[in-house]
Amino acid sequence: MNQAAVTLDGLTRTYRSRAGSVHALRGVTHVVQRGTFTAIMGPSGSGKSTLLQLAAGLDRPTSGRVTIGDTRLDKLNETALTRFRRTSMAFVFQSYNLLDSLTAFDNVALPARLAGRRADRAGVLAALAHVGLRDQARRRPSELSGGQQQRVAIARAVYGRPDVLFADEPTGALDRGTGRDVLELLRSLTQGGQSVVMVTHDPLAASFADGVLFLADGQIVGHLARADAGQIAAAMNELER
Amino acid sequence: MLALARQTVRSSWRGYLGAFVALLFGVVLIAVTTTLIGSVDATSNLPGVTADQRTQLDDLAAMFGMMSAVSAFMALFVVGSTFGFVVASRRRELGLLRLVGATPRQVRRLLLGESTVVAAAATTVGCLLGTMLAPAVLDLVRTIGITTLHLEAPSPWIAWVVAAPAGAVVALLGVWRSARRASRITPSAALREAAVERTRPSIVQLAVAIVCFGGLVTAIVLAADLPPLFALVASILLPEVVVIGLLSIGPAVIPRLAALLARPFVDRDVAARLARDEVRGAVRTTAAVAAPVMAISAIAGSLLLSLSFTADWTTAQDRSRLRAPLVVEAGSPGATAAVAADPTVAVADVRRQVTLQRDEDGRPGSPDEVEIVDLATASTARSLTATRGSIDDLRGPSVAVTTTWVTDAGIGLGGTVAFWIDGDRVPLRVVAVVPDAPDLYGELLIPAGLVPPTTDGPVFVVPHGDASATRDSLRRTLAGTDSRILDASAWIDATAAQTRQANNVGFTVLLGPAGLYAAIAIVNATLIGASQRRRQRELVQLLGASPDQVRRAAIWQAGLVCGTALLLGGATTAVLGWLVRRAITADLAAVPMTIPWLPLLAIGVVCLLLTVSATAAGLSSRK
Repeated sequence: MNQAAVTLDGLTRTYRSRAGSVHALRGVTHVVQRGTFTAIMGPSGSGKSTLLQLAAGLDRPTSGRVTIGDTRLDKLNETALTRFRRTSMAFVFQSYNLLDSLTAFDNVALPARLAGRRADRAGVLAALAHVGLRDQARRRPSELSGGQQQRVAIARAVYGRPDVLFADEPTGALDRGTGRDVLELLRSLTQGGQSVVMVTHDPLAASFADGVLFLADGQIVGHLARADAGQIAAAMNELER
Repeated sequence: MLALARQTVRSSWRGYLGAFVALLFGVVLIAVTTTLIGSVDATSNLPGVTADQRTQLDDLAAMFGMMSAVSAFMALFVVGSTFGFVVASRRRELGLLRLVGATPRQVRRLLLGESTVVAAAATTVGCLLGTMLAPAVLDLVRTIGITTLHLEAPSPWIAWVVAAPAGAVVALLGVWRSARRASRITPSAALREAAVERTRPSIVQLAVAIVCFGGLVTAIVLAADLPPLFALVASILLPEVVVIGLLSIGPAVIPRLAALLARPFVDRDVAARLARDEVRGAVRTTAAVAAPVMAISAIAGSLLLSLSFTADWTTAQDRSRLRAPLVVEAGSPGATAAVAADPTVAVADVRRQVTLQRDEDGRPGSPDEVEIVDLATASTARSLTATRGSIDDLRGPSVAVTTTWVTDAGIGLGGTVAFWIDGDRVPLRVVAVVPDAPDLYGELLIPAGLVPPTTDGPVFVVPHGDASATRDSLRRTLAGTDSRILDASAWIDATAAQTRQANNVGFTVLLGPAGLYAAIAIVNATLIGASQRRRQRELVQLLGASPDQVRRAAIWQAGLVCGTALLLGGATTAVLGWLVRRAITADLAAVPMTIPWLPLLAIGVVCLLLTVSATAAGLSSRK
């Protein structure tokens, strides 16, 4: 079985505007192994979020290619990509990205329903229980706190048992305690063989990951494995100098 | 997807309220119009309705049909723009759906499902409301003097059968484009706070605009060759075409024009600057608020101007043809004969008409008003001359026709028109084409002696000598007969006033509902726009704008958008007015020009007031 969960091969992304071309990524190559938690760090404008979007197939690279497991994303059209995303990927973002009109339960069950499957009630409730929100299943997002909303988003990501979970600043809007809970949750996923790729600018958050990738000016400029927050902060300081 | 659609409509009902109201009103309007047309039909089939009344009813049905077409047009694009708004305001939510696995097709189906929920609700309520309103509307039609007949209400299911599917079709067509646009939203839209709104029109939109403006240019090029009445019809239909053209490139044109309009003020008032930037940034809101203002000002303005110019044209035709210095409106049957017998009168030319049935496939068909003319008197008093053929040939089984009739019917000089007279089919040869003069003679003229006249109109009097002596003499002759003796010019003025009054009634019927629709649409779009700008407004306040500045900026914005729309509507009106004017002056040189400034300005002021007060209401309701 292929041990690579996400393979990034020579990715570049250039945005053209009237003011000229902006090179957001300049040839990024990296492999995320199955069952690992990878953090991507870098100064503002270094291309972190662009990299995440390309890896998740939310945007198409100018050149290079992305492979998730054995599937090359450039070979898929929009509908096929959507179907693939449904089964293989999940997302957690800084703004919680829940549908306001749906209850926590319905939000978690939505991807399954979109895929034309019946949402299995016990499974959805188990996912909510996993993030400690079993009793809040009937509440709508507006009735939940920020941390609770983020945990619903994680429950939604967990429920589908995707191969890869992409997270962009998942703790950015949370207090330290709630943020820690969320990161523990993400970390626990890797034990089941799932991979997590997280963009963050917080060294403490990155310290929960197995490896940290540093990005600057659209290129990978460094890598740390099993580092603590202090080491990561020092590396970041070096980059931003 | 329908279950999800139900849930999303329930939670985002505010956005859909506008679509619901727009659609509800459309369905009510269609139901009422169908009832009106149905009642005209039911009434004309009643025994005892004369040919005259039947003609009046036919005209009425045609007018209602035109009204419903204009209204359906307004309904379609108002519903369309409201759904467009709903989609634009839910970009993030729809992007999120795509992110968690909805395919483009599923997003499209969701939107269609939502519109189905809204359409079902609006259609049900609309049909019931339409049925309840129908008797009141039938009474109203009589009260404002559109018809003297008592209109019979048809069975209500006729209105339902037409209105319910029409409502559903309008909703579906309205949402179709928005749903397609929604299905193209990428998953990454969920990650962005606000998308840069696209201003460049798509290829299809550009093509639509080119076709629409191409039509306008063709009409302008052909203007001088168009018969005046054709130009009038064009001025009713072309505004819609121009409006569609303008709307398809609206996001590219309207915000830029509004910003240009704001230029003189931006350095003087920071609120005007804020408004200018907002108008330029939120192109979709700007275009959506401008749309109904532009549509109604272009459509109503063009119709007002064209009707007025056409009235000018008929009056000028009357003036250039009428040679008789005096006109007598006889008050009793004997009075007409008395005028002719007066010794001071040289020529007494009586306007006589009869209703004849045209031959349709060997059977008596639709009735036509036919003028019976005495050549000797009519050529003196009404300068009846032929532009083609010879008026002297109007003897025996022959007919003279007007220029407009030739264009309308497609039968020219040498052709044959058959009528049914006393149970016989009588073919009449077209021997002359005469210029139009609608108040002096009708479109079809036959010689005296073919049929006895049924109605006597005014008598055009040419005196032997001095007109004032004849007037005095006639005053004595006609004393006690309730007749009126008028100078030619005064008679023409009175006739023109009558025409303009009839025009006003027609205008009200044609555009009344569409105007009401536009008013709802203006308020609707303004309120939705205001609610969408709430976050922006709160941010500006956070940065130190006083409540007064925020309010002023909103009102500036309303003014700028409405002003731009009125400018475009006004330009459309001016171009189409010119088109009609050109067609008229090609026909007749010295035509006076009456521009109905007051109603035209009233349209602008009402639109401006509606936009500004809706903006103020939007501000106060969310303090």
